[in-house]
Amino acid sequence: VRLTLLRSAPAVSGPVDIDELYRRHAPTVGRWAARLGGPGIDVQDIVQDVFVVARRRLRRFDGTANITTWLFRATERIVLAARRQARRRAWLSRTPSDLAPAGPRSRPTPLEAVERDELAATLYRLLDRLPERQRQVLILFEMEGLSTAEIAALTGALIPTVRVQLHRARSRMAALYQSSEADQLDARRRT
Amino acid sequence: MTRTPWEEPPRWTERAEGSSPEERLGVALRAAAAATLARVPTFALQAPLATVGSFSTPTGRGWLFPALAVAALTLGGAVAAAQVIRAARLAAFTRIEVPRGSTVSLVNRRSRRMRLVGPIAVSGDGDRIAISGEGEVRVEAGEEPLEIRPPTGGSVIQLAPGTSWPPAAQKTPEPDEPRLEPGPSGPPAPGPLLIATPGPPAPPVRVLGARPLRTAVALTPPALAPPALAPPAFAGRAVVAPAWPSAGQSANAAARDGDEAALVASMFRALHTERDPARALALAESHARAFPSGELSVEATAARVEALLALGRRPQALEILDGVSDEAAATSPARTLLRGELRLAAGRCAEALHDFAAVESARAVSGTNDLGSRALVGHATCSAQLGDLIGAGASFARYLQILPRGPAAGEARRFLSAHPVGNLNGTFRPPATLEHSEKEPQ
Repeated sequence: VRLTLLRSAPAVSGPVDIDELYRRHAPTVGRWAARLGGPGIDVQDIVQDVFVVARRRLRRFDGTANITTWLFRATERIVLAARRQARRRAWLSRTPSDLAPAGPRSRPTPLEAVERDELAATLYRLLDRLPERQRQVLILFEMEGLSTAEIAALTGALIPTVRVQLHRARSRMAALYQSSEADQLDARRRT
Repeated sequence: MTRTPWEEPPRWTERAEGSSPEERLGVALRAAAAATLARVPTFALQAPLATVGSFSTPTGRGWLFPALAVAALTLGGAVAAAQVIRAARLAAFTRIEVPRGSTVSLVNRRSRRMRLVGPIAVSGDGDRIAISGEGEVRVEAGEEPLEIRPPTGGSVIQLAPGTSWPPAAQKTPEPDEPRLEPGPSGPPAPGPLLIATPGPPAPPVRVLGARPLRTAVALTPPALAPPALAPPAFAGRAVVAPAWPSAGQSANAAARDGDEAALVASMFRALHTERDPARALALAESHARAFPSGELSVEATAARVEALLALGRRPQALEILDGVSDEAAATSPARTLLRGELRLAAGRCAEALHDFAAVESARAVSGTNDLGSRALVGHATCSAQLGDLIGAGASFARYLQILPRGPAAGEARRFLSAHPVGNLNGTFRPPATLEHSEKEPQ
């Protein structure tokens, strides 16, 4: 469904119907926000901010770009700002960013969901150690299931560039994961 | 397994669980994908857009306040910079305080070398500028020498180079410096004062030195009252040396100490600051007793005349002015005009006519200024009283040409209407309306 939404989004020309835009793209924007932001951000806030910006800016949208590209870039900037703010708050409060309050949960958390969330939190701690562009490409490729061509269309980069970034991100992520596992093993042995 | 360059790499999340890092990462990525997707509140995303857009800026003028802030900061910075520049410029000037009610003349004023601070009135032109009011004058210490020409008649109070006004302490004069009179008791003591002897005009003095700028403060002639065909009223304007000690406290001490300058200053201070002409007259008599042939006799006499006029004792004032020789009177057109008006009021028209003619012929006096217009009116009045209607009419006609809306314009028109013979030479053509007449000079 999401690929259909992405690929069927036409280039917009003329005034944008913001209600229709919201109805069609809000779930996608929410998913992008959740994937890119990780457990430390409030997805609803991000989506609201994206469409507030869209309502203000898309009056002058000239239709030269795909509307999903525009929304993704807006989401990307707002998520980045939210992550910076979360890091700043964590630094000021001297608490790890992964201990920051997570967004609202849609359902009660059973034991599997807790383990899954912990695994996701660990993974995002490693993802946060990647360069921003590599982190973004890896998330879109592995978690969002987009092809490198689609990632290139969303981010405005060339396809070879996306592939190079993906290759570097995977190599670095594998090294980080192995290092993290070794650290966890050492911690268990000490305890 | 080899891949072509355009082939997509296999996703980690599509691998089965295993022991390799990539496979374990695939498991973690799948879990993270599911976890993040579970956090997307789909029901909230279906909320109406009105809720989403309620936080948007309604006016769309978010740039206004930042722009105003930047403008305010820029303006404030410019104002602060201007204040700093002004303070830096003023710091390069020698500060001279002008006491309240005093009138001083700066001789050899040069533009851009004098700054007035405070509510100070400036009158006069050329290189003699009268400054009255309360405030301060700052004079720049220039590098090039200045020429100082003492005024003809009157006294010159000259600051020694590099001293402030009034001087804070008495200084010992150097051999080449002007003679310094001792200051009066009580602060501030006017140490470096030079009292020049009244006399013929002195040749220009070229002052050289490390701080070559000197400021000369001269007593200016008194301004006279508005013209009147009736006996003239005198409302002399202040001709005051800078105020030193108060008249009431220091006059006796000054006389006792023999400080003629302080005594004369006290006279003028009593006249114009304390508004007490009786005291000024008493001080003038004290001066006459203490300094019968003092160097400031001319100034003391002027103060005495002014005090007598303020007390309404015109005959005594005229008696004093009658004692002034024509040569001495010629140095001051204002004094000559005053004497003429007093003589006219006393019925001595022949002598008054002589004074008015002297004023009119003075090179420094033109008909467009106050002295000249008053001399014309006085001349016309005297001529009329002596029966010279043609002369009176010519003077009135010239007055009307110069000041068609002057204080005596109505009287002049009435005279010319009543005595057409006075307009026989045709010099006067009354304007049809006053709208096209000249603006009255200041």
